Amino acid sequence: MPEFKISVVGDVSKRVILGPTVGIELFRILRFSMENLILAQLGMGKEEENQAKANENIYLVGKAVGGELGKAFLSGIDDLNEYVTKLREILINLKVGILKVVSADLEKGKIVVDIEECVTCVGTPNIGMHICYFEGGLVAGILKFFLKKEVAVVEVKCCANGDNVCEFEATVKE
Amino acid sequence: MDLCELSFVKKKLGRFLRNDVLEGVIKQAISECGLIEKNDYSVEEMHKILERMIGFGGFCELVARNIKARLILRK
Ligand SMILES: [Zn+2]
Repeated sequence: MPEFKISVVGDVSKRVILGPTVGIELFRILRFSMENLILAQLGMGKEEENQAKANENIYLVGKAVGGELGKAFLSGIDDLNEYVTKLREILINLKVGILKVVSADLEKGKIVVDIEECVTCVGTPNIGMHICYFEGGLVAGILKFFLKKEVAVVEVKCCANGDNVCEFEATVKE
Repeated sequence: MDLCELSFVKKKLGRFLRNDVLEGVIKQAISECGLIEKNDYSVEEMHKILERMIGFGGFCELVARNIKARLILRK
């Protein structure tokens, strides 16, 4: 298993009895506590603007993690199919979700992927919102690592919006 | 410590990356900009270095975007 170059990850093999994973409940509580903390720090008044800023920050963290995942596990792969197959394996192992490519048109710079059983939103109530900014960023960071180009990702379907899957549209920037 | 000091960038990157990795990416960014390694850069030079770091992706990008935003807001 290649190692993360992020120092904060440390040597997870030292967690001998409990192993390298944590509960999804903890992930979600941490994820939404962070969002609420950012919102609290932005203050009251401009609710929509503040929510957009919080979403953007969570997206950027996801993008950073995606880039590091690419460096740690996907270096040296130059075929998109092979890259996606390996990526699917990694996202399942990390229990982020089950990745499926819906469409990929590299000439037009458009890639659409689904994530089933998304770590953030599957089973959450329908609140009429897209909430998977971390995962959107993750997809952006991972695609940027492969394409060596900036990629912008938007979540177009989300379980928190009543859909049964998360869907992300990626646009490659020239 | 100032936003345009290399020691500041290294300190922020050091929150995430291992020291050997951090030194490598900083050296690469500086040389790709055609600059030499020193501690104090001009605002323009620092923007160039940060742009390179954004291109590297990962936590390097996150830190660089953060410093860049602070540099722009400072003006
Ligand atoms: Zn979602």
